[in-house]
Amino acid sequence: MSKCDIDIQFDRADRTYRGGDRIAGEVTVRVNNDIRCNGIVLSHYWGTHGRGNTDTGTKVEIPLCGSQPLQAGEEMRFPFEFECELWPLTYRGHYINVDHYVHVGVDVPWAMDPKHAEEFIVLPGQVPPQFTGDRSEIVELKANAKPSAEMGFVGKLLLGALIIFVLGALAMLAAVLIPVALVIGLVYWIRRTAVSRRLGEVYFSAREVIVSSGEEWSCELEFTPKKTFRINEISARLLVQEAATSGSGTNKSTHRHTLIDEKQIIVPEGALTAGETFSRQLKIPLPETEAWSLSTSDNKLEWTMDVRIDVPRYPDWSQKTTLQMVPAEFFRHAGVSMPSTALETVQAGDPAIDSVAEAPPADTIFQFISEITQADRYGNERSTVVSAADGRIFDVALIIDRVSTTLGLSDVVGNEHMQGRTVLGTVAGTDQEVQLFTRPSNNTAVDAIARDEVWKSRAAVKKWDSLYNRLVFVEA
Amino acid sequence: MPPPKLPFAQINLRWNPFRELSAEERMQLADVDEVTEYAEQLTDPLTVLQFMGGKGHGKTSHLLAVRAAIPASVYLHIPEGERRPVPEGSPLLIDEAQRLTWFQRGTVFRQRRPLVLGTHRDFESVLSQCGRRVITLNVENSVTTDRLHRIFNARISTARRAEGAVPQVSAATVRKLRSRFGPNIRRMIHELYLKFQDLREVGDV
Repeated sequence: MSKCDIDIQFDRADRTYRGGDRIAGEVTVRVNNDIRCNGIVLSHYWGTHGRGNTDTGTKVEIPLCGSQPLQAGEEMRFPFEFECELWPLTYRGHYINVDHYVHVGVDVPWAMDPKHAEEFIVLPGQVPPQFTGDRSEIVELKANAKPSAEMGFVGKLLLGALIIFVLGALAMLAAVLIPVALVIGLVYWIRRTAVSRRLGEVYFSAREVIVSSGEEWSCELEFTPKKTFRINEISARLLVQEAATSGSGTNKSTHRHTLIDEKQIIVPEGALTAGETFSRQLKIPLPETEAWSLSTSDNKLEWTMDVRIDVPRYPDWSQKTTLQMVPAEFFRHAGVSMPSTALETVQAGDPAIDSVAEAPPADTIFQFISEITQADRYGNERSTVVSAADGRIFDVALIIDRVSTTLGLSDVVGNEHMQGRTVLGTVAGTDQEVQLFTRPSNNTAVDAIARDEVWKSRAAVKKWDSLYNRLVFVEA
Repeated sequence: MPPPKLPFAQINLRWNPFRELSAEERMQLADVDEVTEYAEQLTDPLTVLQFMGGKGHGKTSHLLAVRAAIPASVYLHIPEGERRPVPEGSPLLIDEAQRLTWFQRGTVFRQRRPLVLGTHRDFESVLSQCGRRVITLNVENSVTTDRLHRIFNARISTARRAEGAVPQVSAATVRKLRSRFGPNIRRMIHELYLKFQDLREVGDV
């Protein structure tokens, strides 16, 4: 039997969070044997698992308790709370999986430490700060990769000696290497010249390399053939591959799995006429996917687009572009807040929404939200507006995003809402996000609501959550 | 597109049991029984235990099993093209011992401390000249169906998510893998990885 049993519970039954969400839960440690404990630490981090070596992100540690003796039969509960990382997102692939973990370890001196980890799922949420809206260059999203061990002085000295040795050896081999390099260069030059003799100068440009699921990727291709000749086709080949490296040294091997390999014929077989300019903006649809680009040391998910002019019995012209596939949510900027005309954006045709949105009388939730929106987001004006309305009751219709169990970790939850449900959603007809704590008596009804359905309630204002820019209510 | 679920929850596991493991995980899963009788002989400072075999046949797993059986031992892996200082400690376990430098070999082989080597090259005669008592084990001979069956199902147990049934690799499957891949455990593990990727419900593989 283990010295301790560790149980980790999350505040959401489906353990699904969006980047930037508050993750809360409770750790239970049941002690089976009397032990001296040097502390209990919770850490959260991301890691890969699959056919490649495990890549792990930086472990963020939260001490749960200090050094103390633990007695058999004792049971301790520790609530925890932290902010969900923005990247990388949970991914399920063939050779690569990405997961986020909460890990709890009990430090027992001179013995194996009891430990336990549980996964949680991270979906796109807040925009990582690296995304500024510029799509023209790939953004490095290394996501707190664990720093590699610093090379010591002796290591650096050895590396320097090795470099000098290799350079010396190369100098001696130069007599052999230079002709080889010349031959390779000559072949490349002949190929390039041959292509240029037929196609002329080929202009290719792709304004965007950061792309999103389901959208069209566009590029421009322009050339004026110098000769009239036939082509097999002009095509664009989208290749999405997982590359997972396992082992090291002579035991190192890279496993590749192709997720998508689609070729689109842009121009079918035919002839190109000398002097007739071919100029076209190509729009290549990208598939719906959740295979986001990933680049860690041993696990990579790569998106490439190869545009090719296939000339029979002649060198082809081709241009390979590496794309970065990210969720569409990353193009939405963190600074974009609800438009002031939100009251006019009521969705038509939904009776549940229309009934609330029609001709809003004074003192409606809409007026209240309008007051909040007019206040400066970045000061504490919104908190002041909401504090002034503390306890005011509104009829609200919420479009539900997520429902989870209320664990009582929030400062606004009293006994009457404990063990109820925490509903996250948007006030129908606005973009205003809200958090609503419902009463336990309504648990069955709330649990039955599906995502994007509308839930009507009478809710009392509790506070403004400036971190998430949302209103916090309790069910009246 | 539905949001991702917890990994391998449909077969009551937390990960593909035939994924790449870290050295620590491999040590925890090491099949210690087989090396126990040899490990006892490592109390003699002149003993050298030499594991030989091809790539992927289990030399490192055997070394890690010794490491697990003797917690005081020190483990050294020498990556390709690199030099690594030889640590203090006894017994000393050296993975890829053929990559020791000429000088390191001379020093380490002459020391009076028990050694365990994982190597492609047979050092028996050199070690004997240094006054060592050498036990050479060809790891390929230890790749029996029973042992493989035990190793594979131990991997599955470690990946268990909750109480209840988990998939099992049957002895028949192990026999088939053994006849198809010979002593190459790495290729068997790759094959099982692919099978578990496609597994949708708990059952025998």
